[in-house]
Amino acid sequence: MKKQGFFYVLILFLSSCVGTDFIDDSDMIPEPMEREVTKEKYIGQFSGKGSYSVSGDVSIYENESNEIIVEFAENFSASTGPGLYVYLSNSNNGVAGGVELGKLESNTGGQLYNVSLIDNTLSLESYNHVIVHCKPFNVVFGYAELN
Amino acid sequence: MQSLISTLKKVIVFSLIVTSFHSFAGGGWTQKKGEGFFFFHERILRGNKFFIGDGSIASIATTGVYFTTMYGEYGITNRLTALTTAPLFVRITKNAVNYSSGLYIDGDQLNSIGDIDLGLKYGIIQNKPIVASISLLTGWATANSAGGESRLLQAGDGENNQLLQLDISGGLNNGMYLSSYFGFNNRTRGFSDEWRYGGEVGYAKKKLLLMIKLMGVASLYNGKTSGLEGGLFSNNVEYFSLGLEGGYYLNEQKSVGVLGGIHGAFFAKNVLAVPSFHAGIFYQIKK
Repeated sequence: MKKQGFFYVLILFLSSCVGTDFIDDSDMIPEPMEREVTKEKYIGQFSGKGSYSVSGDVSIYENESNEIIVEFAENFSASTGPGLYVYLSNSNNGVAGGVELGKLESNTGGQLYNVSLIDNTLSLESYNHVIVHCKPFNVVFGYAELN
Repeated sequence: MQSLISTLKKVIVFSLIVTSFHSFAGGGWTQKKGEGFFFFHERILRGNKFFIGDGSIASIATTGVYFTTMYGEYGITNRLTALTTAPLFVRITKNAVNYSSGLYIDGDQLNSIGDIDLGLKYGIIQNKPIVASISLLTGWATANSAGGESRLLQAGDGENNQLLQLDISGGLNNGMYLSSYFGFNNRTRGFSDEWRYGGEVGYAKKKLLLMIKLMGVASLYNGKTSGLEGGLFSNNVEYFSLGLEGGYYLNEQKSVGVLGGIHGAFFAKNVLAVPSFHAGIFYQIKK
């Protein structure tokens, strides 16, 4: 009886450990978009995923210092949630293969993210989606496709 | 790319705890004065699927939810029974995620006491073939609702709620019984109120207990759609689930026994899409 109790506790303890999920996303990362390169910005409009609400306009462009900037317009709004981050990605389903631009500065209103400060090898054509992502739970809140 | 989307959490666990044992311990029946029922048990959910807000299933980081809980009923009078659901220890885990592309998301964990429910059940109709009772159960935000290294994991929802519930039960021949309940859960701090409903068929033969349960929660969607203070996934939870439970008395007096079961949802929103397992030992005070 004592042995059974011990094994029960042992199994419970082992099953409750924090592990690591391994996800092979090598075949899930689309090739970079082939788009005509201009100095003009690409624009998109946020849509929420599932029950989450994300809306507003977003654009990506090069500033006068040739830095890549992602700009959320004043009409941007997102559901409140823990650990929201902004990513560039080539998929609207997740951020694998993407680049993290930083913590969402505000749930509403205009804001700027300097892509070149994070990775100065990136170009306007590197990614075709801007993602608002709940990092702790690996959830896409919303996305905008850049056109 | 994996289809991510919504995640965790625990409210289904709380809901199941609240509704899972009452019929076994009483349903429409109240405890006699000085008698009681106490069930100490462990409940486990662990998985990487989640019902998102539109009811579809998405992949998430593997999440574990572990509740060590004491459920109790005690007869203050023949018609008035005190109720409690006390999650004495709650552990929440979230696995790290390591993508082959190099992206790495840290894991996290939280250990805490859970939200404690206290309440009273009053027998409206007792000692008849069909009995009825009404219960008022109050939920208290005793849990850590912002924990883990990220301060984002929750062992409770951080709100105080009041559940008013009507239970109707009746015994059948051959040791079977039927029970049903319907309740309204008033939630605070911007959480949506809920309807709760369910039914149960039970069978008792000698030392054996078998139960089939249907349980539902429907949100009124009258709260904030989201809120940090409430937790991302604890608002507007809905589900309709089936539970299968079995128990066995360990002594001739039928005062001590073991009870376990599995519950899974046919339909749900904003909860983990995994079955919950529970098992424990119960003690009945009989005069």
